[in-house]
Amino acid sequence: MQFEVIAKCHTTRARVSSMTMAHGTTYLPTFMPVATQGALKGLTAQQVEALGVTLMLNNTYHLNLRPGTKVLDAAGGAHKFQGWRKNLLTDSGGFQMVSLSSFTKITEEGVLFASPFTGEPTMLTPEESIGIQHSIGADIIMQLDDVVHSLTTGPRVEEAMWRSIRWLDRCIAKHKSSGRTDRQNLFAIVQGGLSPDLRQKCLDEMIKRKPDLPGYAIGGLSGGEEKDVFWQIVKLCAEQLPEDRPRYCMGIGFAEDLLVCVALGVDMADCVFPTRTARFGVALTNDGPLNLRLERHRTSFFPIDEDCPCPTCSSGVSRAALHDLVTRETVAAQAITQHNVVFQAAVMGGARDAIMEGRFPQYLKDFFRRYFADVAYPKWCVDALRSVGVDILEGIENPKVVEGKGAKWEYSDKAPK
Amino acid sequence: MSGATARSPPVLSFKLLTASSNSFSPRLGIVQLNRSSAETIEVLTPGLFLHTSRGHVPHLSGDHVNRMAKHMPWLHASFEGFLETLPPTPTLQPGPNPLHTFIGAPASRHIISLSFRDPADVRERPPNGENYLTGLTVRGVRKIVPTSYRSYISAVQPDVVVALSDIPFTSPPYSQKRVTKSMDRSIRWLGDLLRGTLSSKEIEGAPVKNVLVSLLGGTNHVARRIFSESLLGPLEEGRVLSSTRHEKLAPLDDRISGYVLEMASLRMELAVDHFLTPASMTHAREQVHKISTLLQASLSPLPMDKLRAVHSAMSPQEMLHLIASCGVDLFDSYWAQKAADWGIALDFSFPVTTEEHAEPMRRLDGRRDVGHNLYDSVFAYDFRSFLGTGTEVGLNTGCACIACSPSFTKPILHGILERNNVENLDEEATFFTRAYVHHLLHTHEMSAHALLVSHNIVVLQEFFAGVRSVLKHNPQRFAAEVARFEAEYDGEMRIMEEARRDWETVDLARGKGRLARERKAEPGAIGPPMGIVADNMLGA
Repeated sequence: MQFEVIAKCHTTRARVSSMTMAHGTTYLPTFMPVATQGALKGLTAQQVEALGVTLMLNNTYHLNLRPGTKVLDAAGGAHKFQGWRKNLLTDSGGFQMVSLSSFTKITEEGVLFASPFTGEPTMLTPEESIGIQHSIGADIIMQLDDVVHSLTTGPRVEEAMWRSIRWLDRCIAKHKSSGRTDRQNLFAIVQGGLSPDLRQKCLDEMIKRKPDLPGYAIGGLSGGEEKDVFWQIVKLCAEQLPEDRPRYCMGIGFAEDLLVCVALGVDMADCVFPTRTARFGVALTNDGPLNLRLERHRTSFFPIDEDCPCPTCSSGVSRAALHDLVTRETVAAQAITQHNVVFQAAVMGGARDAIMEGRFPQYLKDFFRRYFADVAYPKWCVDALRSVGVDILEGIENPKVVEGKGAKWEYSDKAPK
Repeated sequence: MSGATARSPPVLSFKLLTASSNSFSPRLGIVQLNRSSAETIEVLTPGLFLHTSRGHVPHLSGDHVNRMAKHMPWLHASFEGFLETLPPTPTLQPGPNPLHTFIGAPASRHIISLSFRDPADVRERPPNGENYLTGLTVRGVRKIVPTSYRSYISAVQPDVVVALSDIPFTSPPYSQKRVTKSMDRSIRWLGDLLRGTLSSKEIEGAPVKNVLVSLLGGTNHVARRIFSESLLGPLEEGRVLSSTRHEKLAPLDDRISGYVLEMASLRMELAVDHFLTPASMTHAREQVHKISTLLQASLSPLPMDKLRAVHSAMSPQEMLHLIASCGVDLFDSYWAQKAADWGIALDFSFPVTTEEHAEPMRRLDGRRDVGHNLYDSVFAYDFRSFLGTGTEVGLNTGCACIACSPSFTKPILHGILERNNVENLDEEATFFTRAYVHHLLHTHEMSAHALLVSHNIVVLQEFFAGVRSVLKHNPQRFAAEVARFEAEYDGEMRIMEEARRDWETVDLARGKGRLARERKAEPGAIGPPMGIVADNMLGA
């Protein structure tokens, strides 16, 4: 991997960089859509590329079940299998073992889980996870980590953190012995739950292994923890991670989360949210999400966003037409998925340009004002951005600020009673 | 009423290109839709129009429709689903060509025809009335009266309109009285539509143009003939004529652009006549033969130079039979789209190619399927294209669809840096493989159906191109080629039922514990081989 920081924000910790791998250059910060089983929902690889995506995800757990490594090996890897010629990232499969499998036991050897094929106990070791990811052949591969739910407390969190470090060493050893380090880039995952102390220890250990690690991820978040804790952990990690390595915050996808993380120094993020929500008829916009199933959109004969370059908006498909089709025809899911992927990419592309041109603080203010001003600013976003020198409430008269997540959603078209 | 902005309606014309020896012989023709002198959309016949759901070919996204526009110049939509909310949403669409705009199919590239009912939907519904039809929506049954149909038509402005007809969708069989009533109502409604004035006389409007009429009469040859003869009756019937006008009364038929046969409803009736359900009606050939004699009964009194369209033919053999025996010009793509829903990649051609093909595999009776059921585990490691070409990059797959000939388009740029990126738009994209689509089908990914429906439409268009080519260059060979095709391919379409069952299995199996259930049902199909015999195999 060639990684180069191109520009830095003069105020926040945000930066623009280029990351060049075997399947081209991806400019950071970027959002990565998730093609879980080798297809971004309803679309072809060419369609995804046309949206301006240069890096997307496949899930190791799912591809290992189907089609399996033998098919992937025979196909010559997941790129060829799905016709994707840009960069690809795979997770380690550990997260899904824990979240999807009926029983799971973590031992020092690996993750012991019920095989979905036979129900019999099956072991996924760090070495096997890397081996599967070699069959998939993604440009970025992730270490197997010991995942605990982000709300877990007590000694289990520390145990998982140390075990993740030991497993990282095994992943590094396996990866180096494969001779694929020139084509596939192994990322470490910083663990340590919601404890700054444990995170610090984990960072110290993983940074020691920097020569073998082209990049780092911040894991173990986005599990329902308080947003105040979330951003502080992200900030702590991003501040300490090496300047010359990309930083990937796992599992975030709301626009406000993305921009806060970028301001804290994060370069990459992924989430199924934009594509999943699309299938239920929610289109993402700079004014907040639009729930196109709602009656209020039935006679809106204009696009989701007149200025959006996505195939859906640029061809003039109206909100009314989408309202008519949502949840009935897959074409609606495809149309809104295309739009949402472009929206995410545009938010990040806009951030890159703003950072390069020295106007990122204003970009943040403008974005949050448009997105939240009609409801209320999430307090955690205000606090997080103040911590890096940007006051998004500056110049706003009597701003409304809300505690908690503060995420915006279009619920119902019934007038509030 | 503001006539100032009203554009003149497009003109649909149909020309026969071959002099037919009789009314039922196969023929070549051309359909043209002229919106203005500059804009003409053509469909060569025998040819294809596309069945849609709410105006959309299921699974085909807007950008794919755009790329495939020349393979799908004529889309057929049905209106009943839109009655779910009143007024129906498309009727509120502002601007010119409202239906085209609402659907997102540019009027410069697509003809859109509209019928009230979905011609492929034969679900039972409450009886129609003296002055209304019942339609099915996702929120239940809706009634429609002919005046509303007309006002919806004038609001959404389809290019071609199928007149309302009272085809019963209560349980067959139907009494003679019911058939007579059905024909009387349909003729009355048709007259109202074509005259532009209604018997209720409160509502007047421009006569509706480009009208197609469903040929009725059920499974009774005499009734079908009588219905067609009544189309030749006078347009002005039942109205007081000025005593100063002596010109000959124009028949209804003068204002009709063509005829439609709805095979789905006819099949239901035939099944009852023979105490069979359509699913167990195994002799497809016998059935289409019966249908063709019924269609001949309908066509015999009618002029031979009008467009003949058929909805819901269920195989290429049925299509060939109706071309050969009834001179049918246009077919909808319903079965090929259904095949895509059920995981079938079509792979057949007309005329049958002479070289010995290995695929699709021959069945025990020596016949080949018209496609590949990609659910089948034999495709798990099959890295060839749908039509069987190898893995070499840049190889001509012989098919222009988005699966066999994918291409790159210029990506959207999201920032100034990306302008530096050199895109290789000329780079050949590699075709999608059978193995990949097999995987997508088993993981229930929608992309599978997008690839398959695109492919199946192109294969079917190529089939019609083959039919036209024989009719043009070797018309005397046509009957022999049809016979060769019938001898080569399985006309019973067993693959459809097999794939449908596989599709259903995956569909039902979704959710927790699914892989374990599949492993039980089908050892060796997924995951590492286990060498165990599943319980259900022992029990069977």
